[in-house]
Amino acid sequence: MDNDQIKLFAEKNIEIFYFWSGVLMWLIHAGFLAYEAGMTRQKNVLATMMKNFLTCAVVTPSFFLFGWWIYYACPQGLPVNSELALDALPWSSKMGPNLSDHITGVFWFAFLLFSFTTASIMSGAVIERIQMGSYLILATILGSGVWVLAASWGWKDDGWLYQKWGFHDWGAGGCVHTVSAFFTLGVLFQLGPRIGKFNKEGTPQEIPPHNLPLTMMGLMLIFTGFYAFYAACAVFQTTGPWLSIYLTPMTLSSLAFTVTMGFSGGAMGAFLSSRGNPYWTISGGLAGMISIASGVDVYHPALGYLVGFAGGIIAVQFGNWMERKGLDDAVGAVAVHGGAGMWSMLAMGLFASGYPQHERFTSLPGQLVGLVVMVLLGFLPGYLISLLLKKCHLLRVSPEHEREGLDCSELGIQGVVPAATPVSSQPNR
Amino acid sequence: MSSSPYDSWEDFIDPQAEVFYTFSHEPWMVHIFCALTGILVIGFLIASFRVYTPMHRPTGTPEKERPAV
Repeated sequence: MDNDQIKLFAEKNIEIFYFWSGVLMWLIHAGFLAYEAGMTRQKNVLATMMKNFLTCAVVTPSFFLFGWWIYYACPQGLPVNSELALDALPWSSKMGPNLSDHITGVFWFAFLLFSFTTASIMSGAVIERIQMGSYLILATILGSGVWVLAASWGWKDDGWLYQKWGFHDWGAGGCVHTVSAFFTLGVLFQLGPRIGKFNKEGTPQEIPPHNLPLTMMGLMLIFTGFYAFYAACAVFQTTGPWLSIYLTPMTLSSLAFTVTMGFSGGAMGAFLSSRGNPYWTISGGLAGMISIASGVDVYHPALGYLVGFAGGIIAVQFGNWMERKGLDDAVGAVAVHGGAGMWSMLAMGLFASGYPQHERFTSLPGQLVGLVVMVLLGFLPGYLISLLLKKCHLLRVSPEHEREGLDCSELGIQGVVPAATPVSSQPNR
Repeated sequence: MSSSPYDSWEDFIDPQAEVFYTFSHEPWMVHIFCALTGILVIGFLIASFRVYTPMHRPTGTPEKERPAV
C-alpha cells in the first residue's frame, strides 16, 4: 500500500470506530426509556416514554442547526466564527456527504448521542407533572445549547477552563452529568413536587414505581451503552497512542479496568448506604460509573473502585437530602448525576493532581473552578427558563390532569391497560 | 503530593513512557488502595447477610423498619 492508501485505510478505521460507538450509545436511550417507564405510575407510563423518545427527535435537528457550531465557536467564552466554527455551520461542505472528509459526520453523530444523554437525564426527574411542550423546549436548550457550551469551555483542548486552569474532565462528569443535573434542579425548583409526594406537614411520601424490574433492566442497558459513551470520548489517531479529548495520552484498557471497577464500587456503596434498596443499589452502579468519569484515563483500577464506592454513597445521601428539603426528583437523577458528577471532578483534583497537560498540570484548584462553573452554567438557565415558562402557565399540567394521569389527559390513551379492563372501555380522543 | 509519575509534558508523551496510572511511582499508595478495596468487599459480603436476612426483614416489612448496617 502507498501512503495515500494507508491514510484512507486509517481514516476508514476512525470512521468505523466512531460510527459504531454512536450506534451502541443508543442503548443508553433504550435504557433511559425503560428506566423512567418503570419508575412512573401506570397512569403516566406512555407519556413518560413519549417525552423521552421525543427528546432524541427534537435534539437531533437543533444540534445540527446550532449545537455543533457552539462547540467550535465558544471555547474562549463568547462565540467567535473561527475556521473550525465555520466548518461546523449546517451549510458547510463538511456537514454532509463528502468523499474528502470521513470524520466530521461520525464525530457529529457521537456528540449528538452525548446530547441525547444530557437531555434525557432531565426527563426522568420531572415526570408525571410537566407539560410536554415545555419539557421539549427545556430539553432542546439543555441538549443542544447549555451542555455544548460547557463542553466547549471545559471538554476541549482549546477551551478556556482547560487552557487557563488545567481542568480535566475526561469522561464528562462535569459537562454532561453535573450540568444536566443542576439544570434539572433549577427546573425542579419551579416545577414543584408531584401531588401527594409530601403530606401537609411536608413529610415525604412513597410513590411506588409500577415496574421496578423494567427500571433495573433499563439501567443494565444504560451500563452497556456507557462503555460506548466512554469509548467515544477517546481520540483515535492513526499513529501513536489513543488520546484523551485534551490530546493527552491514554489507553482503551484504562476504560475497561476503571469503568467496571467504578461500577462495582458504586453498586456496593449504594447498597450499604441504602440498606439494600434495589432502586438505589442499581442506581449506585451508575453513580459509580459517573464518579470515575473525570479521571478514568489515569486512575489505578483500585482507586477507581474506591472513588466509585464513595460516589454510590454520595448519590444515596444526596437523594435523601433533596427529599428532606422538599424537592421531588422522581428518579433520583439530580442525586445520581449531580452528586456523582461533582464528586467526579473533585476526586480528580484530590487523587490525580500533577498530571502534565501541555503547559499546565491537573490540580485541585483547577477542578474546583471547573466544578463551580459547571454547577452555575447548569443551574441558572434551568431555573430562569422554567421560571419564564411558569409565568406563562406553560410549565405544569393542571392538577386535574395530573390526578387523572398524563396518558389519558395528554395522549388520550392508556399506556398500560389493566388485565381486567375491556379494551372497549379505554378512553379515545 | 503529585499522583502523576511524570513531571513534564515531554516525559509524558515520550514514546518510551509506559505505566502512567495514579501513584504508580509510589507503590505503597497502590497497595493501600488495593487493601482498602479488599476490606470494603469483605465488609460488603458480611453486611449483605445483615441487610437481606429474612429473619430481620420478613416480606412486606416497610423499608424504614430495616435494620441499620
